[in-house]
Amino acid sequence: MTEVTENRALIVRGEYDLTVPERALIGRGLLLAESLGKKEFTCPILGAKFVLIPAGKFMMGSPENEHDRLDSETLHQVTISKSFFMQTTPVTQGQWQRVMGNNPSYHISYGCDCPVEMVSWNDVQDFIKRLNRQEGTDKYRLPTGAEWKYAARAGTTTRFYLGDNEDDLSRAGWHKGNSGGKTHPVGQKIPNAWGLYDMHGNVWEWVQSWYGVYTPGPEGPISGLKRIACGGSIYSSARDCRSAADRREDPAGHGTFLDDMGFRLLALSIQREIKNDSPEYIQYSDGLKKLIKLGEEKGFVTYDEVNDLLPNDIVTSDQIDEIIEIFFNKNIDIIDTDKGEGAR
Amino acid sequence: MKQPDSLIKQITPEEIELEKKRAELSVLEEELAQKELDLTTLQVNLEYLRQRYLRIVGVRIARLDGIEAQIAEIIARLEPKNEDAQEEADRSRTQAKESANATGSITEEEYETEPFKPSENLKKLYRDLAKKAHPDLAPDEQSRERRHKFMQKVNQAYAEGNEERLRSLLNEWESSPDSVPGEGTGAELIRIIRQIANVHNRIEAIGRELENLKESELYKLKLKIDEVQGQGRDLMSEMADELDAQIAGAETRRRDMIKQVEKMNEAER
Repeated sequence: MTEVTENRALIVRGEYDLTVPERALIGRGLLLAESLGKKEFTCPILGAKFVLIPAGKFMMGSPENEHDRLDSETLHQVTISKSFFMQTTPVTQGQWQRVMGNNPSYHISYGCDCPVEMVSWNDVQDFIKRLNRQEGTDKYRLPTGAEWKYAARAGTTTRFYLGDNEDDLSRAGWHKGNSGGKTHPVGQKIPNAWGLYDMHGNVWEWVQSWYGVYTPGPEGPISGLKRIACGGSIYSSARDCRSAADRREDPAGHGTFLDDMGFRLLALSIQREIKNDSPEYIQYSDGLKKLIKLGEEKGFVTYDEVNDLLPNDIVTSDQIDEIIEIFFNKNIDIIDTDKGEGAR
Repeated sequence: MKQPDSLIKQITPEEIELEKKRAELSVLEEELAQKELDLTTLQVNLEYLRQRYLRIVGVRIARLDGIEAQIAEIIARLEPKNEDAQEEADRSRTQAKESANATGSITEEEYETEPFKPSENLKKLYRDLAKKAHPDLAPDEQSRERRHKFMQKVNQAYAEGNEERLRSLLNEWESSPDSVPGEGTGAELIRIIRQIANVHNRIEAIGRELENLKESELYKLKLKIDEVQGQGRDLMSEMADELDAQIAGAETRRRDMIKQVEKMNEAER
């Protein structure tokens, strides 16, 4: 304790001073403390409420005896290592309008509190980018499939978060059996234990995750380039509204009508991390740079070019995903060689 | 000569005024002692918090900043023409240096000091000493200097929670009080009026200093910790856990990146 008085001015007429770096450290601690203490917050731009989803483990997939189960829903344990904030409802038409200045929805006549739809996965990325910029943050993104399903289950293991029956589904959300074929204002049904509404039905919700693995080859791996959506919609049967169910669609929205495709946002509880989660280091390989340059000049690259120029050391599907994401962000299409030649 | 006569004769208007002023000063002494106690207690509490914070949270932030700086460095080296990457590397390096500087020689393993919880006895001793030996109650400049040094010892003993030392300081003071030279009523009146003014000033200054302290980030952190503690949570260790997770994440990223660089170097060869 003698250190106290040696280092500090504990005298009758003393000022208690901290050094500038010390103050900075304490300031950062305060920010951290702020985010730890909070159980919910409201996004000022959207006016949307977000609730804290605690870190934890859950069983992803579905038990073998679950009614309507698909073989692909192999049960496996997933660890969600960090808590995060989840928007309590899907993004509404009004919220989309505030950020993007337009309302692309098909069900536009049912009011701005209905979920936005007719948005592709790529449109959603644009929305998120703008929202982050407008709020001066980088905390918003789509949840991954695992994060979404973990949040939807809120600890339950039944088909729906309120139980196993269609009645349970009807109390939780709008599906084929009760929607009347139209979307409904968000937040009207019973939320799950973590306060999330419309996790079953109303609109399918895009998530961050890719479906399948990109396999370079002459056949063209277009079927591997799909993003996942969860939760089912106003057109879905009970089977597709199950917590374990999902749907795979082209991120640009090709080949499907998007009038029941929406999304909700995840907000990181600690802002710092996302900045470094971006795969910047991949961007710097020479082959990739050439590829991007080529794509920027032409507006597209062919799969052959991708296969020729991609660095040999990029092998995992995650890394491929990230590269493809870079292309999407730069509006560079990846197309089949044949089509590419045909366009010329 | 009858006693009452002589008494009545002795009480001059100055003496009546002097009595009033003595009473006024005595009330102010109480207030001053209490204020000094409040201020010192808050300072010691904040100092305890500062040390604990730097040891538990500060070193982790510094470690995280160090890793982030290394990552930024690698990116900058991979992309020598990217100005953003260079800037980010510079910024990260500076940040890491500052955080390391702020945590200085503190290591996490350092022994845990006890939180400062002064006993009523300790507080009373402090107040007694402040009333007797406060520099603003000094009769003259020379004594003021001496009292100033003495109060530093008192503050130190108080900060250490050392009752025994405070008691011995009290004895020490009482055996050698300020020698007030024989002075007339007028001179004493003037001295007390000055003391009252000094004490007023000091009480105001303490008020300002307390205000300043309460606006500091450190104090806000203290409020936060106290508030959360009321809910049965330990904010400091929650922060440490969160930072540990972030450090682990950053370590993984750094390792991945180094692997990536190695592979690229191999490919170039």
